[in-house]
Amino acid sequence: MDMLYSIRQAGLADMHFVAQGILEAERGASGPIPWCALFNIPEKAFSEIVLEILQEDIAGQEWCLSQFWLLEASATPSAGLSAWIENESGQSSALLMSTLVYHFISDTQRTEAQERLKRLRQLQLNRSPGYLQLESIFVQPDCRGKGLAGQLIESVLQHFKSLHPDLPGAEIQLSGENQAALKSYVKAGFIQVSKAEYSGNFQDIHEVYPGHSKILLRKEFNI
Amino acid sequence: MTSEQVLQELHPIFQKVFSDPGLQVIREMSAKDVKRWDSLTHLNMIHEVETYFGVRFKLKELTGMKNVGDMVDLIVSKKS
Repeated sequence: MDMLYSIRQAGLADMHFVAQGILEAERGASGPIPWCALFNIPEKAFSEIVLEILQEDIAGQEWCLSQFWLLEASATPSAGLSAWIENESGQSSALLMSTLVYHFISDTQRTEAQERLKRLRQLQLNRSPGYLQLESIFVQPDCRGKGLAGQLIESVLQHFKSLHPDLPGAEIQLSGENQAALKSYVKAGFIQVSKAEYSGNFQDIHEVYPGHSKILLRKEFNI
Repeated sequence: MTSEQVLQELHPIFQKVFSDPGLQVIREMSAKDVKRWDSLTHLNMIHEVETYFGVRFKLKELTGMKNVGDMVDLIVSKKS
């Protein structure tokens, strides 16, 4: 018998599930979480920072609890993603994220991370103002391989399109080395519009990012 | 401090952080107007401004700033 799925926005009760999902999405296929390497903080401390940022619920960036959408199977959350319209609040999501992280790390951690942050700058891709952004897409390990991420993405796209008929499209950023995710997003109608590649020693960038290139995918709604 | 004084004193901070000695800071300026204003330099700019003026912005204040003018007004209110 086919499993019945439902989709809903995350609430306070989902905070720990969402935080765990963020950690898994950040970890990617590489193992260590890049943020931990970037600021030299243990995973547990990073997890607590994520929870604090979720509690702030600052809209317009990826770690905002009320912007998370969950797919449930039999009333159990199985997948999630964050969705927001870029620059809707007047600040880019990248600046909002850096502001949030700045708030929760020490001055020493910020200073010591400068050189590592400079490496990441080469992989910076700008999100397009006005476009829907999908981030922190994750599926519970025992639910993978069932197309849940695709179902969730399609449902969220439909929701935003009905709510904002003038929305030009949606974007996703991911590591260029994450071929499995790339394949599923392309299947969902996204196409690659830009790519940033690290020009230095790959080992240097792999210390702080799960790959040496980053891709921006886009799905236009009005073509 | 007046808004004009704060704006003037932001000039050397912005010129240093964004590596642009000729940068002219105006109230309407935001990240989209400055080539090197990205997430890394944004962190450094906030730190430098807080250190120079001896103020500490609250999280909601930082995330609510739309342009330099918003920052100037906050500094003025914190210093008065």
